[in-house]
Amino acid sequence: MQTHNIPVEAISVCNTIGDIRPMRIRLEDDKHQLIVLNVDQVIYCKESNLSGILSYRYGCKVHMYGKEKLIELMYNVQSHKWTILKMLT
Amino acid sequence: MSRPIIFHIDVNSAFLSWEACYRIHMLGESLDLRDIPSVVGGDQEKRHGIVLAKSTPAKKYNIQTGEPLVSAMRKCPNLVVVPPNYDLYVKSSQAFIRILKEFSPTVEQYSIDEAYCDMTGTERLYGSPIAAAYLLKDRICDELGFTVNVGCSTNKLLAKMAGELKKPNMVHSLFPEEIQEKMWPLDVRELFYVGRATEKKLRSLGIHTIGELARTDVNILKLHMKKQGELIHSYANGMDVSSLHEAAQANKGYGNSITIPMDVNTPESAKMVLLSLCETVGTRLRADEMKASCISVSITDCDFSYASHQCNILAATNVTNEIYLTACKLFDELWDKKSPIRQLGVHTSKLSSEDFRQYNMFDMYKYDKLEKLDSAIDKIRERFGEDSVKRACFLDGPLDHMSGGIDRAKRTGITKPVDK
Repeated sequence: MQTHNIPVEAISVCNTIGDIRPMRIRLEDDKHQLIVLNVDQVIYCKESNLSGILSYRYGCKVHMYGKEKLIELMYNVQSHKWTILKMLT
Repeated sequence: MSRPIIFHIDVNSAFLSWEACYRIHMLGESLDLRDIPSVVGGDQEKRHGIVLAKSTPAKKYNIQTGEPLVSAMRKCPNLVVVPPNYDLYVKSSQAFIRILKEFSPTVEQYSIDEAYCDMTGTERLYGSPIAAAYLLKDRICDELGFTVNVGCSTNKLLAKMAGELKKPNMVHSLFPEEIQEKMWPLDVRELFYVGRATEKKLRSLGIHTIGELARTDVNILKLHMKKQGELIHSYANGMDVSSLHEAAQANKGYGNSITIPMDVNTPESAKMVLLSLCETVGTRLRADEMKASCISVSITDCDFSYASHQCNILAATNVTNEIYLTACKLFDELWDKKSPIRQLGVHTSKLSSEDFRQYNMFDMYKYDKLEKLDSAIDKIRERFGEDSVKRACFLDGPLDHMSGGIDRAKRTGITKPVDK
């Protein structure tokens, strides 16, 4: 597992009770190309208050270059920023 | 009725722990600052380059909080220095206090990283005090990611002394029956309220441990140290009658000081600094609807020698201009006009909250008008930001028009308890 801190653009959906779920993310790859990844499945969602900063962490399955990968996405509630925190290679 | 149970909870190397925790959990860094010699240090370019917090490995190099970064680097050339992030510290502190308030009905926030909790009568809820302390410590560690020390006892003093016993991430008890075994063998310097000067006096009396202090005749101590002698004698015996103050206690004075980025050599530029400090002090006084009748000015020169001067004014005031004029008068009397100034401070005390003013025949200014002007400016600044109105003399200068001890970045929560 590699730890990253990659800021990403995201499309997410809020359901009627206010739960947020990531749908699609866009990031820059190693070749400086923008790639779009669909979130195939959200495996877990954890609320975290580490360092007193409220965030949600999502374990997600995505397809990247034809391979299935597991990533941990983080949504910072206060700053509204999405980040890839960890990537299982 | 069961005896009181007080907890003292202290974050281990607070600023550094919060910084390390943020870097690991929010930025995904793998290096833990707490495991290497590291410090949180001020900005060296602005001459605020001192150690604000240090890691446990840094302690082994004898690096002290408050010492210049240059000297810390000399002790440990591999020292990692990270800049402070006050917004983060305030958030971490708020989250820390929030957890304590869930645990105990009475929480007294003592500083940004320390608090007391009254846990009397919670045995049926959380079990024995030690079990409750572990529960609290582990919850903070799991939820917020940083470690704390918890001291348990029957009063605030003993709880604090217990919390200081061994760090980090520990629970200690220091109940009255344990004083002799756990507290008395400690060096007298470790006792709360014993500073460098008191330590010296005690050593000259042949008192080296807390136990020796506790067994000394209180009259001897009173003879040498007056009331403080009596106080530290009762502290050494584990006696403390102070209760937990949930609400913040009222300020006894309002003051601000600033270390100027470059030495000041002329009275004109020093007075500009004084004006910007008076602006901040005046604003703070007015925000709390207080007036002060004693004003003092302090100067630290480039050789770190410190001098201060104070005077009483006829009527208590919170008018910026009046504070400034008094400060200028004091400054002229105090400064030798030669030594370059490194730090300037303006402090006010003898506070009152009366909303009337005693006029006198020699008043030169129309204070009513100045008061109205100040309150209008305060309202504008509150609504549109601090920089929306500033004096013209600060327009092109390098100096902030409202400088002071509390940096803008750390104005909330650092010196006052955080409510949220």
